[in-house]
Amino acid sequence: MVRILLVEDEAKQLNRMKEILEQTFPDYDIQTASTPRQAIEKLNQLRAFSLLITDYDYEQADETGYNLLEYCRKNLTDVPVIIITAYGKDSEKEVRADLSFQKGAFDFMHKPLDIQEFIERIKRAILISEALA
Amino acid sequence: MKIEPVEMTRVILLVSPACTQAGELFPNYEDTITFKSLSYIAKNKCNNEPYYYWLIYTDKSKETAEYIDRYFSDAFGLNNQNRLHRIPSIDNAEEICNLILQIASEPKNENYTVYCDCTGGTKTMSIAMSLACNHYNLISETQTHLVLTFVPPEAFNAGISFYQYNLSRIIQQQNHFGRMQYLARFSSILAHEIKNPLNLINADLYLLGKSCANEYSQQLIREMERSVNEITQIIDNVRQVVRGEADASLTPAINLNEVMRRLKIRTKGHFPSLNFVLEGDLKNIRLKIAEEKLYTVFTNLIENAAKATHGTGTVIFKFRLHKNKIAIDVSDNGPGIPDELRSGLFKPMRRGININGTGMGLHIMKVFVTEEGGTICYDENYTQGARFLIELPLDISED
Repeated sequence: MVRILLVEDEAKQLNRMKEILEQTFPDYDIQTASTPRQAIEKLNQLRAFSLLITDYDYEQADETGYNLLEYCRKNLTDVPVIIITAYGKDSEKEVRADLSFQKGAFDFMHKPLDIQEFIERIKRAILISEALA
Repeated sequence: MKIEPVEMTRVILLVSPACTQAGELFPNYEDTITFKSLSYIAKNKCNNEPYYYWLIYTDKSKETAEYIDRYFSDAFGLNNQNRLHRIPSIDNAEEICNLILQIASEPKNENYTVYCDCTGGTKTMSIAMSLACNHYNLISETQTHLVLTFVPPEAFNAGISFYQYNLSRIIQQQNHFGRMQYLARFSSILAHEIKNPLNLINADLYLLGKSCANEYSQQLIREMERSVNEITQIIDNVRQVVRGEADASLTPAINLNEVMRRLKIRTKGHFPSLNFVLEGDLKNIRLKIAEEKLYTVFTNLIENAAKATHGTGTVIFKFRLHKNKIAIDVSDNGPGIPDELRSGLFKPMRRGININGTGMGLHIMKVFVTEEGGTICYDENYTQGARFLIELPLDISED
């Protein structure tokens, strides 16, 4: 069973993305969380995740997607992580493609997402995840 | 006997650890640049009349500061309190800035001149003084002005005893720089805030597209998706403009030859069939312009040329030196810009023949070139395609 964890603090975006994934992948189990901390709890509770998709910025929670990425790299080495951000390439925030890859992210995308591209990248990540399993 | 300074002059000196340790770096305290600054100001600015001064020191420079204080307070007979201020280190520019402001802001309703010296030229201290200058211009209600007296490292190392560097132009630049930095940060936040709802719109459009079989509805959805992309591009372009200005304050000179070499490689990669021609000798030509800005201007021109010639034409960069400027003519062999589109060509949101563009490319070029003291215009008399005429000031002449 393919299980995806979606992490995003903005509720509407989270719900839309969940809806898109449920429609596109009706056989997958799509789980959600609103903060990296909640995500880690879910990862520990349910285990066996095939993919984690996380936003970068969780200002209210004073965390970033990199916290989650680092946790995954230490504890769940086989789970690919996709980082998504609305911050631009030249933003002052420390979120960039090259840095994300250095930290072990599988993929990196800018908002607003091209949904079709987003879906194709998820398929690719699942493929890799299943090959590693 | 209490002596009141005749001129309302205040001197704030940062006694850097770099110019301390008399005996190691200087044989005597009187040889330190701090001491010489105070003497210089007394002689040249105050006609040897007394003035108020303050010394900001660290533990390393304490001894020097105390000696200098004893000497000058005796010489001037001053009795203003709290002349010596200790800071734990010189690493925190903001802390130093706050201290400068605190000292310099009393009394509030007098007109006075503040000299702030950053001997030894540490970067943090110069940042601190720049921050203080920004504050002064924003909050000062009096005629107070902050003058920086700065010994650049090369002067210090050459053993020049005192060197006063009038930084009033840099103060103005720093103020502008401070404001542009603020705008750059603000625009980054704004861009982030706009892109999140755009993401939602994209998601909604996708779901709508999936649930709608109607051909007309599908067409409308595609149009809306294109609009979202366009908005995103505009946001990124505006960020580029604002950030370009914020980044381009004290810019090092760039080597034009190197910029063109990189550009040639990039063009070959993006437009392999476009003929890229350089004319003119670029050896040792250096410009004082942010490299990223120049690169953006040139890549925009190349992309426009590629679009106009369907990627198979020719773009020519012609360079000519004229007095202390460089003239750069960039032409292509496309159809040129139609007459009806030439008016207001460099204004924002004006599309040329590229109707799918955001209309920001030419405006960004104009902003970047103008900010660097240059000019850009479209050559109306050129009939063999499009030609843009750019002039940029040289910072360092050709060797």
